[in-house]
Amino acid sequence: MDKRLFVIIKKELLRVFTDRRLVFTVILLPGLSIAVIYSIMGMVVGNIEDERSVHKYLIETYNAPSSFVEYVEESPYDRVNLNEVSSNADLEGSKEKLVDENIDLVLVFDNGFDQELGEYENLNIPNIDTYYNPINDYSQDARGYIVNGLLQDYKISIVGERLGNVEYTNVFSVDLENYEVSVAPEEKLVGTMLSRFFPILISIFLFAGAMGIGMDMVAGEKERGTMATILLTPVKRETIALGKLVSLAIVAVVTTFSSVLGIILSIPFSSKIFGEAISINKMMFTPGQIILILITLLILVSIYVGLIILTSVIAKSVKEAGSYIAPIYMVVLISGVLAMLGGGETTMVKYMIPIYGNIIVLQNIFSFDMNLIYFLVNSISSILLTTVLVLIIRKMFYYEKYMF
Amino acid sequence: MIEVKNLTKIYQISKKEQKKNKIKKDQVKAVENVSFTVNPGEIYALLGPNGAGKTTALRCISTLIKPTDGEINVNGFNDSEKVRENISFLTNELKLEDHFSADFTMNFFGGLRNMTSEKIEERKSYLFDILGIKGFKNKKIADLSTGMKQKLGIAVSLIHNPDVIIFDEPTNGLDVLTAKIVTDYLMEMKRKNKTIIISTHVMRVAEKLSDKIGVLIGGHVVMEGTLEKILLETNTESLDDAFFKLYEMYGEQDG
Repeated sequence: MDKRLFVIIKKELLRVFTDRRLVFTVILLPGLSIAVIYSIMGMVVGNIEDERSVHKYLIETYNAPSSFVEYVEESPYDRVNLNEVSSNADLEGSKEKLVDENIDLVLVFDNGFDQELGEYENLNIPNIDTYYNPINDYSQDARGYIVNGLLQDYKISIVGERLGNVEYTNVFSVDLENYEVSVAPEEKLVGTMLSRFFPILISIFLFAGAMGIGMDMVAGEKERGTMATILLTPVKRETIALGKLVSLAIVAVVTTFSSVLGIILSIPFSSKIFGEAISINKMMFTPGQIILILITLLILVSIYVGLIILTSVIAKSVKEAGSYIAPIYMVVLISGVLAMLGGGETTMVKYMIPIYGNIIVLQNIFSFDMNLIYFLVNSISSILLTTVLVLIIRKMFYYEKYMF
Repeated sequence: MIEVKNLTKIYQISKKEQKKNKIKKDQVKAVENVSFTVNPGEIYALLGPNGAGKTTALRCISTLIKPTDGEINVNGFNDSEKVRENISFLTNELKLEDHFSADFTMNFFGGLRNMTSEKIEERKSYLFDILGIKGFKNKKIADLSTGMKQKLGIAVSLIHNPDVIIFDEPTNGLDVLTAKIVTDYLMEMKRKNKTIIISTHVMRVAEKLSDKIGVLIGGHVVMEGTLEKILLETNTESLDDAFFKLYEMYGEQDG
């Protein structure tokens, strides 16, 4: 191997890592901003959830039967604040209050509700109309709390009265003493959680981290006239191209590491966003998994770096490179979203599509669900694409049309 | 030794550039059938107005761009990498990375030329001394003046002690003192039997330095020879007059 490759890599890395502005914006800022943003988001989401979990629901009732009012007073449903409205004519007013978010729910009981309950043998079934505002979180919660909780229990208590003993309503129990309902291994559970967002985030961070530096590495150097000075040395053009590719890959990995570190640091505060099951000490990967993850990441980095350097070679300026790279960034984002949405049958073709396939592979590895054949198919198709990209870049480094 | 035989360079103009510059031609002949030879121990000056093709010719010789036609041999080589090993090419278009110091830049280019650390140190010491770079060798290039950058550019281009030196407008933008350092250095290199080509539109520099002059107008060498020969053939008394006379004869046709 030409030792001048290392001279180029050293220069490129020093250019990035000895520039305080670049170190801050490219390496520290992504991790720092992710840690801060996710922590704040996590805390805000947590606070909202905490607030929602203790909120007392304001409910306006019409014709609320005494049996219901008494049941509510004695039941453990203590987050209910009932307000009986005297006239049915005020219903429109109550609906307005729902829209204005002044109350959370309206319950309209049939007239003579209790009486109809008593005449159940005649199959008279009284009705309760509910009104809520789905735009208002509290209203939505209130409906769930009342319709799926309180009214169901109220119904059971009535059936109990009819049977003479409320215990008779207990037909069977489910998982009474079964404390191991989930048979999924904990690491697989955590892995599945992680696979939902981690591969997509890593993919986006990798591309975003490499994008700025990559545009400057070739297009910027051409624009500033420093590339021609290097091209005048007897170093082979492919060595220069390879030096740029390897350096950018290293920078991309470092920035991604920073971003991932940012996520990890934010986990104690952001569990409400990513799911309670995720915590640092539960991130236990097997050595095999780690190797597969590293191989896939390396392949993904190669594709991204190849695409970025290719656009940088075609462009005459950083600005032009930016306009070429934007659609590729969109492809990266769309691939991530499609992979996150998932669905559909697992087919070989999916794994053959670079970027999208790589993200799916990462998801599969994280969730302990990797089929080695699919992994190989994805690796081979990605390596083929990378090889084609590198060959095109190498060829273009010899074209004066692109290099000057 | 540099041998240029029938050098022709045609630039293709893309449709985008044609539209941008409002031109109909899809190609431009920058130089056509240019031939000359420069021997070791000689300074050859390519003289010509802006756009005559001087820089294109030098870029072809230095392998930065490929000739459309013709042959170029540098010290017997026409293979790009071999040529680059043997030459130094300095032009205003070539810039150095602002972020690095003069010292690092020299190490970097020495490394790219496969030089050992000892050899790089030796050349750095010599060039920094002769070009007066020592005082700012650790400063970032971004903080250097134009003259300092020019000096460093010369030092970088000469780090490998090449046999062939190609300087495009070597004194352009330099103050009188720095320009003298450069011209003195070129004279010293000539004495050391190096093959040197310079391009210039400053007649005084050509008169002072060159052994042979090639007058390039409209992409053609319209006259070539020693200063005395050119003065004799144009029946003039100074290179200035000779140049204007040749430009009147050939420049009008070209324009």
